[in-house]
Amino acid sequence: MSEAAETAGFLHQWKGAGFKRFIGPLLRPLGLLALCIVLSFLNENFFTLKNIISVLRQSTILVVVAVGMTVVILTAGIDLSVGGVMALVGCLTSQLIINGTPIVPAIACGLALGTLFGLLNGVLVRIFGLPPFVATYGMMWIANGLAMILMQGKIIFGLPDNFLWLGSGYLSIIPIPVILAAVVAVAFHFYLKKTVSGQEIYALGANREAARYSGIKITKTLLLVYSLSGFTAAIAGIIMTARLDAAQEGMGEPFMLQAIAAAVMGGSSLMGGEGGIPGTIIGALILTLVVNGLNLMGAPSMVHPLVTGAVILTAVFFDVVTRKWSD
Amino acid sequence: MKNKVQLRVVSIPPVIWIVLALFVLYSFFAPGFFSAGNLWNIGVQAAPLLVLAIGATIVILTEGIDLSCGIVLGFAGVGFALLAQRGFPIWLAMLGGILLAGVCGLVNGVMVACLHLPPFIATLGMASVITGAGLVSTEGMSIAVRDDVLEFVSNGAPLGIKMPILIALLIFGVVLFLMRFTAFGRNIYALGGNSEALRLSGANLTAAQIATYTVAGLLAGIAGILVASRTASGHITAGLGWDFDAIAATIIGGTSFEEGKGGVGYTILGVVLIAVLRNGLNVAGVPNMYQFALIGTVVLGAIIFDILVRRLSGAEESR
Repeated sequence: MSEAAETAGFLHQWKGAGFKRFIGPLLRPLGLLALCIVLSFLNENFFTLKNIISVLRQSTILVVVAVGMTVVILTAGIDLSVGGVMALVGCLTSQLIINGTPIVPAIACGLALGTLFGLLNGVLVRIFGLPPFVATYGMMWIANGLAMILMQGKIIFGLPDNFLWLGSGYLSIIPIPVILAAVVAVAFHFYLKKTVSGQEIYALGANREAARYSGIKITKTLLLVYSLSGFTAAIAGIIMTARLDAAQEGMGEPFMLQAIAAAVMGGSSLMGGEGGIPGTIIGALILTLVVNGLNLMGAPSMVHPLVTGAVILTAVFFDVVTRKWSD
Repeated sequence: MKNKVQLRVVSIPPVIWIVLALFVLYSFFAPGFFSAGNLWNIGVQAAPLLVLAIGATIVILTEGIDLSCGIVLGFAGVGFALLAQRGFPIWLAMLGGILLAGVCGLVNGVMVACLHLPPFIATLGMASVITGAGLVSTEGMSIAVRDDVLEFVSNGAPLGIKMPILIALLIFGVVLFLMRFTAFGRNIYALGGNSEALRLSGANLTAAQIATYTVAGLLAGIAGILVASRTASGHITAGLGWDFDAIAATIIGGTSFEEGKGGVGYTILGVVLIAVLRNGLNVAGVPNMYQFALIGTVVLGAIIFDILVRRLSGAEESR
């Protein structure tokens, strides 16, 4: 290569890297801040401690699902079953509790079921070679169907206070669900960034062939990744049930798209290998605030899918465009 | 010579075995399944799914996916019902519904071909947007339509065959012709198989991709009108879950996500499987709420079975 071409190549590379390193990461927090400022005009109480805590509490369920979704997306996969799994786990856990199972074993059953669904997703994707969106989409219908059978068209409510504490309790002024979400997020962040296994997930997503040649056990990693997503979906389902004091089939449905939206808005690429938990949390907060703002403006809840859809399409579009710039 | 015979045995699509197995099962557990009336019924129920699945197949052949087609189906019905309610002539209202669905497909195509969004996320986002639009425009209600034409479209039998079946088969024939003998079909196969060669041969890839998604949208619209005619109403969730059925029918039929292999002709087998499965469960008296999980399991099972058989036969061929 001639010197000029080399320099040009270097410059080009720097431009890409510079965009990625300095401007890219700032974009999202700034977006969040701008949204907050807009909302503070709509609602004078926006910047009060009480409202901020309330927004955080509203975002917890989404944060927990989206954390698991992020891990799957890092491997260039997708998990469309999370909404169904959330509903199924919520229904199973509350059904068990209502029928007299102590709370801790009931929750353990719910978590195990969610993880099992995740594991099955992994098996379908890796062992049988189904495209992730087909496998997990099928599992979504199975989970929804099982929830329907479990509930027989009824709604469960009137759960014991000990269980509801998980969704609506406080530790001094901090809501319990916020603490749970924070624990999940921090644990996953450290797992992804500080452990070998976590780094393998990034490597696998960035370049599967290279990962295989460098000795990463792809099957094991993928099974683990999908199981983790099922696990977080189960946690989210339990928190949701505890917060609503109700379980109903179909209750997790909006979260599938919102979780993907949160991850993508947070900078996780659907092509895999890029992104992380902090971005996803910002994405989830932005999405929660958008819905919050819609409610403040008095928009009917029927508009929510429209807005979520538009937001995710815009986010993915920007993801694709910025990736093109930085290449 | 012996080898050839073996290959022929293996290459009977596994889906046929599954359908036969279902027939045997139902002859025990679903009395009345084999009555002539019920077999016609299966055909009528399968008709909209066939139309929808043809659209799903051509999209999958381009290595894409359309997860919005179920919602688009409902949206076309809503558009049709709203137009009819406002006093438009019924045929015009039907055309309006179909065109509305075509526009949804067009937008999908533009997002995939021009903006380079991954197909599943583009169509999933689209599905969400349309759901919202449909809910807002109908306030979540079912819009009733009354007209004699609907009775004709859903139940008439001009040639001794019920209209929905006739329409579905007509569309099947037209698309089969398009796929075989026109540039439209060639481009679709090439998009999935070897898009680079297609580009070098001077074809307009972007236009071909947009055309594919638009046609898929139009087909979803036609399926939507068929469903709306049968129920004499338009509701946005009329096609909830149908996208899964359509994609499942495509994959079970043997169209692959990766190589531009398969085709519309095979999909009809998948549609038959799903229609037989659903109908038999109804005839056997299995409550609706059990069917979602059951059908999801059977469909995933069929896909896995299919993959395993292919893998085994593939291993044999390469040996």
